[in-house]
Amino acid sequence: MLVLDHVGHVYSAGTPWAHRALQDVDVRFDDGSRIVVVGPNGSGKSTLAWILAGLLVPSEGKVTLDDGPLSIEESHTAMAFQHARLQLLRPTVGEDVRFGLDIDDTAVDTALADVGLDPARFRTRRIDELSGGEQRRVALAGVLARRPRVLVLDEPLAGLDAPSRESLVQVLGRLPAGLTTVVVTHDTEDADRIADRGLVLGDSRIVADGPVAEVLRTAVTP
Amino acid sequence: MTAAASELHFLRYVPGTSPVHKMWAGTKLLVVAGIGIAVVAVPTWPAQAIAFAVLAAALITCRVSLTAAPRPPLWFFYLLLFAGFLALTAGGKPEVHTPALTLGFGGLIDWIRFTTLTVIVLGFAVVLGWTTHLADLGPALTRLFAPLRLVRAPVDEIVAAVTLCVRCLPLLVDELRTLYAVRRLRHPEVPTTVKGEILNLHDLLVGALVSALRRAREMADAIDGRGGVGPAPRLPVRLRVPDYVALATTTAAIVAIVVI
Repeated sequence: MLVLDHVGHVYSAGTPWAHRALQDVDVRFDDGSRIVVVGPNGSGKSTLAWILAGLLVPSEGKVTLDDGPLSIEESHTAMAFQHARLQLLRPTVGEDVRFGLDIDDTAVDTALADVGLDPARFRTRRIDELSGGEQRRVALAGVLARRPRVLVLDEPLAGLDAPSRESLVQVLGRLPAGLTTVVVTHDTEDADRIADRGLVLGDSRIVADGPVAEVLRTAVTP
Repeated sequence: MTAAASELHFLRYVPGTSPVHKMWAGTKLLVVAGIGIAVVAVPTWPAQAIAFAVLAAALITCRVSLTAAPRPPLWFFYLLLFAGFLALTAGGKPEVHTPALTLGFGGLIDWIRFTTLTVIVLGFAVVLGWTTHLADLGPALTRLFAPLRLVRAPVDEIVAAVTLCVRCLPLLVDELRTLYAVRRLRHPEVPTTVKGEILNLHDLLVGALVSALRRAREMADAIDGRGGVGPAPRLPVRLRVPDYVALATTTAAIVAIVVI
């Protein structure tokens, strides 16, 4: 279980630019749960995403996974960023999925198949030849290949055309069963297809938490 | 997980109403350039003392809390100390003779002089960043570079390039932050060999270059889409008492640096 125990964060604390991004976030995520986090700009969504991914230490409270510290080094977490191109660190799809891992071609093919990409067509394709939607799926294959326990997705559907969006929604709907998935987004259109629980952030706090359809009905997102 | 132990905040504006905040951006650029060039051209201790006095006056007058000062990471200071040690090994006069060995402090003194010089010049840049909106730099540069039009220098293009570079900096920093995060998440193992360190650095640098080139291309497309660079804005310059005081002080300081 992933636990955020009264987590808060202040950026640039002790400087003239200090500002609070998150306050008193106290939530628990069961293993395998699918959560969508929505809220207006500046509500603390990205900060929460970085904390959940283990990239940012909260200035208040603590984050634990099964009562232990959340660790990037042990690949507890993975994060898919909005700008997929920044995540692709090798020239070809196969090399990128394999990056940082000791896995064979079969594992690469499995990871590609998991995100709906035909391994025979894509394994040797160059990254720069891919469309935006394909780049996003390759980035997702790369993080899934690490077999994380917590996956954080930052605006996974932003800027995609309808077919790319639909195929990515389908991929997100069939992620591995035990994987805790947190989707941070402005886009609530397909939220009920990729998550079962919704969190609404406002003024750096959680203002609603519950079943995704119910929560999003009341959420105010610009 | 690791905390962000250091915060640079370079060129970040601190809102305020001090005389330095109210000065024209061009005045501040002239002060930084004037003192900077003078102290680099004459890097003696008295010259540095004069430049430091002007910097201290600016720091006091701008009334910005010192908590805004950049906090470089610890490794930066280690690197600085290592450079000092290397300078000490270079020797040079003055020398201290002992029965066992002779120690030359010439290199170390040069290193200290160079380091304090760098701190002073960066200090002026920091005060400029704290007290000046980035958007004010473009019009100020247009005025300051105006004489270059007489020799047909592309002033508008130079000003546009400088302004865009400064504006792009936060975007680039944000992308580098993402790149570093990606690298940490996808390859969390800390490199233990020199080859591993080099490969690590290579990945980050290549990513940063690709990112910077992409940003530059997007910005060029955006400029083309709006009809090109166009003439830089020529806003009226209204010098006030703080501007005259700063310019007079700077002139006196430069004369003193050169004469002393």
